[in-house]
Amino acid sequence: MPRNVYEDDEDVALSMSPLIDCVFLLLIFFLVTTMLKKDLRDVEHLNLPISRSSLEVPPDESVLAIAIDAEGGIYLEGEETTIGQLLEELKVIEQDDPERRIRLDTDESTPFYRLVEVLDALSFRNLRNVGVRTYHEKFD
Amino acid sequence: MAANPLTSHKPLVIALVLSLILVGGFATALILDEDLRRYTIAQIEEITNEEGEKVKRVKIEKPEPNEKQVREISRNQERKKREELKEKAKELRETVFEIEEVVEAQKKLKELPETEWDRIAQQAQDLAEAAKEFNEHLQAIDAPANLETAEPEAESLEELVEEYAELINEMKDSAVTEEDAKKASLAARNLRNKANSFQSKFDLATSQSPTEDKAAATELRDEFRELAQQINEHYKEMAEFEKSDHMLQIMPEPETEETDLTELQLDDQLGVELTAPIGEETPLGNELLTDDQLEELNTAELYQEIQKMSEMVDEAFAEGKATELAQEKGMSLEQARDEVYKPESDKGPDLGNALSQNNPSTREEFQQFNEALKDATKAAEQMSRSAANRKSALTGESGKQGNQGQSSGDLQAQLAQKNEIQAKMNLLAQNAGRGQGNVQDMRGLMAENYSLNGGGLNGGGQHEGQAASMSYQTDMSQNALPSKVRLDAKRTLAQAIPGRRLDMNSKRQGWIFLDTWYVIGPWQRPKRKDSFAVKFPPETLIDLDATYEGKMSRYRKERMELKWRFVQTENIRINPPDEINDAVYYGYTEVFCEAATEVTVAVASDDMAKLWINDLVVYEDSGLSGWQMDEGFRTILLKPGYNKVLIRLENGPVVCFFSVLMCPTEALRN
Repeated sequence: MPRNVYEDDEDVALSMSPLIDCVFLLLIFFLVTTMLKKDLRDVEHLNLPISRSSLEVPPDESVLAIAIDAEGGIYLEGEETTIGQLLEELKVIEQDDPERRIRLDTDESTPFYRLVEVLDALSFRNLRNVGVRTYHEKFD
Repeated sequence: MAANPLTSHKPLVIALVLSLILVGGFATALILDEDLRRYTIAQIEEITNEEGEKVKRVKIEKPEPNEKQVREISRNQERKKREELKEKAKELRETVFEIEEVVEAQKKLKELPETEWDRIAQQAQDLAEAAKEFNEHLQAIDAPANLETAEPEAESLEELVEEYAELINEMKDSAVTEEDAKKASLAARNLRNKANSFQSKFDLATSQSPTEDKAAATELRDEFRELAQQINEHYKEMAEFEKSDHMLQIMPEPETEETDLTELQLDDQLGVELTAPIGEETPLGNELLTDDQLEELNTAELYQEIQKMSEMVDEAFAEGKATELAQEKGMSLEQARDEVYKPESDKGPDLGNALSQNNPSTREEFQQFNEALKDATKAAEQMSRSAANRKSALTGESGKQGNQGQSSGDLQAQLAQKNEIQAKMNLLAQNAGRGQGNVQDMRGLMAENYSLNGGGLNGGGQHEGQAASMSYQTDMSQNALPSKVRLDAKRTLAQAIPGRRLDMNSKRQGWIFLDTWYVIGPWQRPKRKDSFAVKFPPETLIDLDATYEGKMSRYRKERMELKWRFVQTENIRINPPDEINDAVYYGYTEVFCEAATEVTVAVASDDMAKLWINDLVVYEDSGLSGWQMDEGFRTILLKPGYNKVLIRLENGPVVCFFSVLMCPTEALRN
């Protein structure tokens, strides 16, 4: 009969290394599987103005994204649209949810009159929950 | 001895077996399933970095769905979108039907000549009748005795007119050729000469008649003068017609008449059911699909059907506007169709091919198909919306509340009433000849018009909760309005505030001026006295995205491209962005009211202006006058929700601007 080698071993302990292995494995798993969701409604060729005073707001799916590019073209939820269509759309939104958050993305060189026009349309439709999106090094 | 748990081999064996089973299972699965074999967690790709070194890096990809899954997903997607498209198709179908019903009713309201020739024939018939009447009067016993000598000649003239009318009406039944037109024109000239020579003789005879017959003779003379003038005018039109190219057009078959009759009968029998068409013809003879037929269509066909219906809406809209124009100016439908502005709605991209093959095998194909689906629903949404806009522009109704359950008779009565209201409003709107500061009360007429429209109460579908039957009459205070108002220009200039929303509870009650406008122009100002009679596209339909051809540019020698431009000022007076001489501009804006509000509007302009509120003419000031803030006041009624305001501004020489001020009448009284 073989002699039990562990018989005299006094301190039986769990080794830490497999535990750490497991933790690393889990960590790698989450790193690999996590996907950063891209905002599909973003307009790609927009060069947001830089601002130091901007606040970080948590991303919100329900926010309505209106973008104006450098040529004055208007985008609603990432899709090109016209001012006439936007006015119609805002009428619908006013009826459905007047408190809806609205995000205005503008280019650095968007004509200012265009911004005023859109802001005025929003205010005329009584949509007051409007924010302007800017670029801040800390957050982006 | 009991096995020491630490030395026992049992757990090891179990673990080995378990892992063997797992690995074996996985291996079998790999052998059996191809998709699993292809499954990638990550890819190693080789890229060149900035320093030109080749670097390997792990690229992690989302698992690629297999072919079956992709197809399943895209089929589901399609099913969902098809339901949306079907909804839109049904909406559009309803709109097509409603618009065409209104157009049909409009046409029946007043018998309009289809072609120019029809109109001329109608005139000839009228002439014959007038000639006959005149002869009867002449031959009456109490006619002056000395005029009896004129009788034979008058009779021969009557015969001639009758022959002429017959000739023209005969030609009407077949295509009018150039020869026919020449012949007719010759006959008309002959007629005119006869009439003129008779007139001079008759004038002489009446002047020589004895005093006791003088009155009767003068009456007869005037009657004939009128007739002669009509004949002269008719000849002029005939000559014009001969020169024009109308006669080269082949006459349309009189088929339309027949469908009218059957439709009329259908209308009477079915009444309500007609508004929910069951796959039959529309009043204008377009084929629409039934619900079942729509169910059977595939996505591509559905989309094409929607495009087709959008086209029908455009056609019906143009036809309706042409009818309006023809009625207003007494021209033939044919000519009105030529003259009327026909706006075309955006039909969306052609997606027939992309939509018809839903069998994607790769990711790219799937994405393309998805994109096409998305575009299709978006375009359908747009088309349905612009169709609804056209409907409301044509009928003055807004939103989805249509004229459900109305027979064509009701519709006609309604249209007739509406025309009457509009005619009355046109009269009240005139500012020429009325003193500065005059006040016209239009509340009653506008209230009548709004309640006629029914659905129009809820401006733009706003405040759906309000009872549609709300009576505007009760809103109106009975106190009489002052007949004249003076406005202290300086004070008003200082105190008026900009705005477009009228809030009853607001503390700031007083004059507000509309500060935000969409302005378009310039068009060439018509060189005629009644320049407002020449209409430009915004009067037909307001489409802020449209572009038009405007006035000829003096420098570039080509027509200017016109777009709506956003104008907002701090100033009461609004300038078009680039004013030039001899031009027509339009301004469009909306005013929001929480409830039906009585408002007094002060319109002032340099030079001429015409104001529409909710498609009703409210103010019309012709003449090249300067700007006076209190040129004229109109007390009107605004409906709850959004109210459309359109102004037409005409510039003679030098500067031009306009101002529109509003004040709740209640505040004006206090």
